[in-house]
Amino acid sequence: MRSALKYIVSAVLIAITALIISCSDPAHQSKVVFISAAIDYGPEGEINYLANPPEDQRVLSAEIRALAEGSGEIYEEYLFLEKNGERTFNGTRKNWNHDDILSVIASLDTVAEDLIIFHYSGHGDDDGSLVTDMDISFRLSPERLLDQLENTDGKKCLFLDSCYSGTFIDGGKLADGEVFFGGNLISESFVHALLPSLLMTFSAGHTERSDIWVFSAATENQSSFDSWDGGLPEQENFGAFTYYLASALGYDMENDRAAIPGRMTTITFYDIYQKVKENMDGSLWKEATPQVTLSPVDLVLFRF
Amino acid sequence: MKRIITIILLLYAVSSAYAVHWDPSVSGAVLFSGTLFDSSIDSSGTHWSSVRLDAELDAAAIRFGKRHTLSLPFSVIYRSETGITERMQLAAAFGGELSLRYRLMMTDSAAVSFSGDMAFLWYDTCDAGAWQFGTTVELEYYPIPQIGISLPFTAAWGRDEFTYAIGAAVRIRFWGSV
Repeated sequence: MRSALKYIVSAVLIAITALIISCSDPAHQSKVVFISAAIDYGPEGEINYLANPPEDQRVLSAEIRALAEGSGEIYEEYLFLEKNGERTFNGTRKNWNHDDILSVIASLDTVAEDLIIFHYSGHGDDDGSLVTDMDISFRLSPERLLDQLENTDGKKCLFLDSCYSGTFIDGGKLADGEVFFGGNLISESFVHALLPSLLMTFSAGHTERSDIWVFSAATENQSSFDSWDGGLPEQENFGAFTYYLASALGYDMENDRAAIPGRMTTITFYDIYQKVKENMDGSLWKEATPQVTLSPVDLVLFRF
Repeated sequence: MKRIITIILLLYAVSSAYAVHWDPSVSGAVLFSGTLFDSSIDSSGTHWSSVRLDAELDAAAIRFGKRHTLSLPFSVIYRSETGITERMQLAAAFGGELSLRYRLMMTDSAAVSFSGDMAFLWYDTCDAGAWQFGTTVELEYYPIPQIGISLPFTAAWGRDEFTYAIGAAVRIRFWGSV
């Protein structure tokens, strides 16, 4: 009788253990999601036509896919494109607008360790809104996009190649030492940061959005450029900012192919910023000064 | 003008009451540093751990009698980057710190000091910086008058940030007399 009871108890315990194990989630493999909207407002000849956004999307999606897969992560992409005035979504014809972009973001299945990279190449309005169509009713404001991203799990990195895109950047926790005059950068030094950062320490209010790092092509008062003649033949085929961004990520511009770094390498958000800063043409840097979210916490984009 | 004269007279009175000595020193410290951010900066609530190195020059140090010292030490600080947590990493920072310190020699070889500190830290990663304000308590032991070892405990607050450090330091007092 006692032995039978022992066996019954053991069997019940084993069954309970098996049930618990089967209910636990499998280990989550981290994911990189690339969402890109690139608009040329075509066809060529239209007054607001931009030649290079489609190429910007092509090289960035190729490079980010290579980096994600090379670092052992799952890669997902959502490509909203307008080329020669024709709109496609992931290669299929679709007359999309910014509501579709927000819907994609809302539908993402991500967790805290996942990375969402949002890229935009196109016109920007005076208030920083993304011009997803020349019709004035189609504007994606910084608040709407950032609110949607903030409600999505994961770490978010925004690459914005548009005019006045610095509007997307919050006040931040740190102060840089940039001084502007007439819209252009005239000086940069830590000395210029001493007083603004002191005032910031005692000012009311907190930086409102966590887990979002923004890299914009220009300040909130500057225009960005569809292309820049920096002396390299291929440079004119890309947005001025995106050319340096893609290069900083590792894209082999000379041979027009994606490339990944060697082993034991970490690519962070501020690594990319410093590479763009180091390599960008000085005149372009003064007229369209790329801005970043200023935080002591760096975002690790890829690890090899 | 009246105030300046009053201060000068007070200082003269204090220096007359005490033997006043110039008591400069240098020190180097290695500390374990922990940093916490407001959720608006870091939603993960991570305790960021790093190594901090301090090099201090305490040139403006005046000792009153045998026991009391007031000084304005200046330090150069380096705080290392941290490990990676949830795809994030606290970047390395370097900067300078100015303090107002009071040291009390409790015995001929043991002392305790209290200071109020203000530091500016610069993050090379994003070319930006921020201020911190805090306080340090340091327990000091001088096996010989010229050389001491100490245990500093520091706490500092910045915008949306709290950081603390605990470690060990070696101090060399140039004139080294008690």
